[in-house]
Amino acid sequence: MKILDIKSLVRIYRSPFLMKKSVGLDGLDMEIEKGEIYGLLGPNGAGKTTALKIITGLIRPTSGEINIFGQSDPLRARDRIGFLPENPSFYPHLTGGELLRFYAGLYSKNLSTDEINEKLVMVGLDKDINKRIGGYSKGMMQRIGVVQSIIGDPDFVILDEPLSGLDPLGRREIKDLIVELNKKGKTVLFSSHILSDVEAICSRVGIIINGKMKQVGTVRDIMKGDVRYVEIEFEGVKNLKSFGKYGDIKIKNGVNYLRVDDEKNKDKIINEIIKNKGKLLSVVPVKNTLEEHFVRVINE
Amino acid sequence: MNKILIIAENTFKEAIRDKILLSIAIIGFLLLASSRIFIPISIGQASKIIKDFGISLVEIFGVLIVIFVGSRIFHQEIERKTIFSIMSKPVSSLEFVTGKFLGLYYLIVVVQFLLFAIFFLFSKLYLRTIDIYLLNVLYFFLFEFLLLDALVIFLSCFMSPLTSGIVSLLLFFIAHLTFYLRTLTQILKVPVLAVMLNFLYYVLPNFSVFNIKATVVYHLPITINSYLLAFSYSILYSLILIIFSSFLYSRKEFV
Repeated sequence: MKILDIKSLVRIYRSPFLMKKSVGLDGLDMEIEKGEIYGLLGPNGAGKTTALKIITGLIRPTSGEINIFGQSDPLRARDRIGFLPENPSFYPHLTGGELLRFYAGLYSKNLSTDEINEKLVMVGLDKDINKRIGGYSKGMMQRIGVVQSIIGDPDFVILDEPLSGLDPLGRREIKDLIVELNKKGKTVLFSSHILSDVEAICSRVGIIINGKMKQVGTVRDIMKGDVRYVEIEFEGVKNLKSFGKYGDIKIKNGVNYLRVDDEKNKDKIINEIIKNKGKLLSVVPVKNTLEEHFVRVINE
Repeated sequence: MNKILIIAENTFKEAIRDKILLSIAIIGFLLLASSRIFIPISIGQASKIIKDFGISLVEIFGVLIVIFVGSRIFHQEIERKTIFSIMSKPVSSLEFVTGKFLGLYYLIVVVQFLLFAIFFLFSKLYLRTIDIYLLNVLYFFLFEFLLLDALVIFLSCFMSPLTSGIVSLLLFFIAHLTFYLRTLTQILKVPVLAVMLNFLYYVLPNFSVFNIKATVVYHLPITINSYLLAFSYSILYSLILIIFSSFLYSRKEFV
């Protein structure tokens, strides 16, 4: 079941005095199914934040269609959405506990101190419940930001760069939290620059460039056919001359490592190893990382 | 309604913890304390002068606080980016604007009571008496500031903090003179001008309905109509302004 369906979304920004135009989104198409963890990737200025702000109703599209939980106006779906803005900032005069109670109130929820504490435990901020937000570090701000986005128990959680500013432990906690939310049936959409994290937890990825969706699919689908080379490990073959035409051979501790650039030659090489009475140890296709793929798509 | 009260409470907390507000309150306290200097130079009029001075100070500080806090009330949310996490939640423009309006009003009510308490304290110290009749001024001030609060909120919806602050202050002074627009119409006798001035007379807020300072200081009677007029005029005008403000705010985008 689709919970978000965006078609040909355009957003043009105009500077207030010169009326100079700049394109935020240029015909963006995007669909999100219920229960997905969807990673939105793109270089700076690609339109990720613009797309997320339109979905949350903070800005309006210039043209195009958006349908969220069956509503064409995102404002009517806000009770089912939780949002973490990029580089979040909160009221410095409130304590962590007061802040969460305030946001819960905006969802018409009255949370007890125990319930608030429970939420803060999830991101390791329970000891800071009575500390003023003004004294929070960037990482703590990011963590409490994630908690405020789920305080209303929304069905759809939208996180704009939730992993930025966090140390490896903090990133791990937030990633675990996203996976945990997903297990509870929440749909998660998040943008990130940390591609290894996207690769690790997303069920689908969309690459957005210059306001358009360039590529969409599961990480596996996107990386399909993205094999850089195949590494074949074998031993017991005395005459290695015939293998030289397939690629570079290295010998280490009596084991031969053949790096084959053309994957199609793989079967021929295996047959030749067997014919030469050699022993095949492993065949490993080495794929591009999502990061390498991402760079390649941008350069295209 | 609950969301409005939550936003109002947060606005109040935010303002009350602002150090600039504390500075204004301290200056107010010191100026009220300084009213003693009038005693030796007032030639038997000490009581009247101290009352006049005290009431005027309470009003001036009320105006300053409403304008100072009110003109930044929306801009601060955008500047700090706190607006993104509020307006992405199920909060309507009407709830947000009304919450901000009531939060600021809550603040001004507390400040007014505090300043009156300080004023009475110094009255007791310097004049050895407390004039309870002066509390009538507080009633009228509270409705005057309700309207001023709505006016600042309205202007802040489409003006920068500096512009809305200056325009609010100008309007506050003009609103005390609106009454004279009528008189001016009769004196000038130019039909086009008369229509324009009449229009301004009805559109601009008229703060003279809240001005009973002299009446109170001289212990003159206040009619029930004055109380009712101040109440109904302030509530109705503020309501219209808040409805307009929330409409304007609903057109806003948070880029």
